[in-house]
Amino acid sequence: MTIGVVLAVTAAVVSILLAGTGSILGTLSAAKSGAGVVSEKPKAFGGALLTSALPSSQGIYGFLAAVIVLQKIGLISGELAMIDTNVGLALLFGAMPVAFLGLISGIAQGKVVQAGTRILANNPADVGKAVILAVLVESMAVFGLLLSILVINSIQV
Amino acid sequence: MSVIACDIYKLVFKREQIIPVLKNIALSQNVELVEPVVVLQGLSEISETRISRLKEEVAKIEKIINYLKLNEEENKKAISDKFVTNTLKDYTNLSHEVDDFAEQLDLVNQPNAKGEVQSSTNIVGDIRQDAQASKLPSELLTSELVYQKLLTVENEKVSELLEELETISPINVSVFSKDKHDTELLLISVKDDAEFVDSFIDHNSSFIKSIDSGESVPVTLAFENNNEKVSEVSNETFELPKLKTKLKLTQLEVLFDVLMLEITAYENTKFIGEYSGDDYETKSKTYVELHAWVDKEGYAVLSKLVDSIDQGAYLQKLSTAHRSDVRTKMSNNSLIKPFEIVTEFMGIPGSKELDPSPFLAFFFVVFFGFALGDAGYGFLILTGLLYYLFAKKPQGTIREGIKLMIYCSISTIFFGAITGGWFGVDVNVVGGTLGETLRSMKQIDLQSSIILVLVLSLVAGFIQQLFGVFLELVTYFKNGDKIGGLSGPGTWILLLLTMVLVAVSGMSPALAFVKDIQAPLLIIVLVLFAFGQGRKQKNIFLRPLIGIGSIFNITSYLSNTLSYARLLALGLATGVIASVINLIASILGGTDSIFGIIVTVLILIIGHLFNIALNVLGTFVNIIRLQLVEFFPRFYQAQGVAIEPKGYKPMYIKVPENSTKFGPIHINISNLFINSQK
Repeated sequence: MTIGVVLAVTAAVVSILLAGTGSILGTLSAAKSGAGVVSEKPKAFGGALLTSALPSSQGIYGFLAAVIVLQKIGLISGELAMIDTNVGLALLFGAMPVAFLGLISGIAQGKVVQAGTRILANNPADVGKAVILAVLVESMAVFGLLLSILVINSIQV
Repeated sequence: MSVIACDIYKLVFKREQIIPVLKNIALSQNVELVEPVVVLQGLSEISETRISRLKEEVAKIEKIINYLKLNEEENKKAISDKFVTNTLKDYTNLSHEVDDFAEQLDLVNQPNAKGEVQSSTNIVGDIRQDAQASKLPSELLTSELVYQKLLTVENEKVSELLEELETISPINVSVFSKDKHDTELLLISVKDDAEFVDSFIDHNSSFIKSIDSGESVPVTLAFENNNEKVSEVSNETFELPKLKTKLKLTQLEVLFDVLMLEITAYENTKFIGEYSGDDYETKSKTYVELHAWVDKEGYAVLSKLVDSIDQGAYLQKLSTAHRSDVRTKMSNNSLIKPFEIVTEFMGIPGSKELDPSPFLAFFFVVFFGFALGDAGYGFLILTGLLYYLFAKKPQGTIREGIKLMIYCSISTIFFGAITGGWFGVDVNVVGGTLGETLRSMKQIDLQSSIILVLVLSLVAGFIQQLFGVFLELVTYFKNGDKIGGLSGPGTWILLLLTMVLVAVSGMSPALAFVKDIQAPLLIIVLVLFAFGQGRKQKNIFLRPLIGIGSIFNITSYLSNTLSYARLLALGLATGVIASVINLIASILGGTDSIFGIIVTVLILIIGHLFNIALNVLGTFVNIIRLQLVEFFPRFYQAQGVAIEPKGYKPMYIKVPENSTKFGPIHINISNLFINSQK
């Protein structure tokens, strides 16, 4: 196994690891406040579930980028390509936007959701408003995913 | 498939009809009472007194219902109209019987009357608290405070001995141990009452096989170990004396519903306002009014009510033209109705909006099926749902939710079959006819066509985005603002379609001509876009500048479309986890031995059930999110306010819909009004 392959696998691992961590931390704070609201207003469960699940998107984006990297180097199909160090590094850097933006936006989104649960507490029917505010934070993670896909896809293996 | 705007009506009727009218309205789930402009004075005081009396009555009935449910054999029959009428005719006698029986139950439920076991646990609990409070070794304290004896008694004689014990209040008993022949009873009392224990033992020595000091048994241990056993024996030997009553469970259930209905009616008296119509001076002494939001069914209830009470009652429609709180209701056929659940997550549509339910239905089902993407899981979910639907016959939102999931599971089967998803098994290794059939159905291999599927997911997302803008255009047209629609969402559609056309022109020779005209085409479209978007700007020179500035909103289309990439990720996740479960089962289990087979089967069942639960929930939430966050904002603001009926839904009596009578089923008003005559 070449250093290039190791770097490529690292790219996949880092993207899911960091973006996933963002998701975990974001969901943690969102679900904690959601549970508080549900304990007072059981009818708010649907809304709390939805808002708590919002920060899970970053993990999904990280996973997606990781799968694309692994597919790129042939690890999924079982036909591992010869990857030189430069290509491996390029893949690693390519995965960075989704990894870091996923990490930061996941945590930030959790905080926005935490604040948004006040909307749920006042009126569970206003879940849409809480969702829309929280989703604003996610845009950067989406652009990170876009950039990562463009970079990874344009690298010739 | 539309949004129904409710109307607000004023109902004027005589004062003596207040409670009958409110009862009838309480039975309807389609009437929302509104705070009156001028509250009728003096009514709230009368109502509060009445409500507290009724609540006391209901509490007694509820207590007896619970007692009878525990002690009577379940023999549930449907309550007929005739039975309800007869029950209410006999209300006065029943009411006395309820009072007497509730009193008897209260007496029996008092701790001392119930038997010593209950007080035993309490006393031991008190001693434990004392021990903890003094922070001294509990054994030392308990031995100082407590006098104990451990008696061995033959099982047959236990109940007799316990009966004797009942008569001596200071002695408390717990079952320490029990075998086939004997029971060890631990007698506990405070040390001052030791003589009672000793004299009891002397008098009943014939029942007792052996006596131990019991000092070796710490009270705390006896308490903790035997709490459950005490309650078991308590049930065996200290059962409440079976009280007899003429009251029947069904009679009480009828009374419960009728009184609850009456309570609701009295609670709703706050919505009764002073008469405000013509001839105020004379009529205001006799007439009152209430205002209510009603839909079609609610209007039918009110108009039939007016016909029934007559006596100058009338219904008047009030204007909603300048009201921002017009109540609305979604009205869809049974096929689309389940999707209202998704719409309700955002809120219900306002009267000038489109109901998104029918428009999201197709996308929701397709996206869900694609994202879960395992035909085996789809079959399992479908089977479970169909069983639940036909066996349990759920109603209301649960029924609609199940129908929604049935659509989704059918879609999951379809997408699972074309992507080769069958419990994570690689269809290429399945032999025989089954394998051939599965392979023939498989059209796309997710794992080797990731980029293709990613592109398909994004294209699906873009189509839904575009459809959302189109629906915004339709909304403009619906509200009569055609120019606003064409210049706003219309120019966006034009711009987006042109961009797509230019982007794909290189992919197909048939579209090669677009390349030649793309520059002038884009310029024309951009000019139209700029003027269209800037239309509301008063300064004609600023219009194109403001308009062209809105092109930055294209980033929202881009980010929203990218968000649909989750469809691929979710689809991959389900399949990958399923195959990992299969791998774990084959590694840990195997098929070499029976033990191996059992382990394999267990891992497969638990693992796949876990995967189904995890991914169904994840997929459901993510697909709802795509609708709420990416699709709805294009055209939907959820400005509607739902009708909130302040009624009572009877728990036991079946009330026919649109009942024109004054109460549940065909009950005469005099019967329903029974409590006020009491």
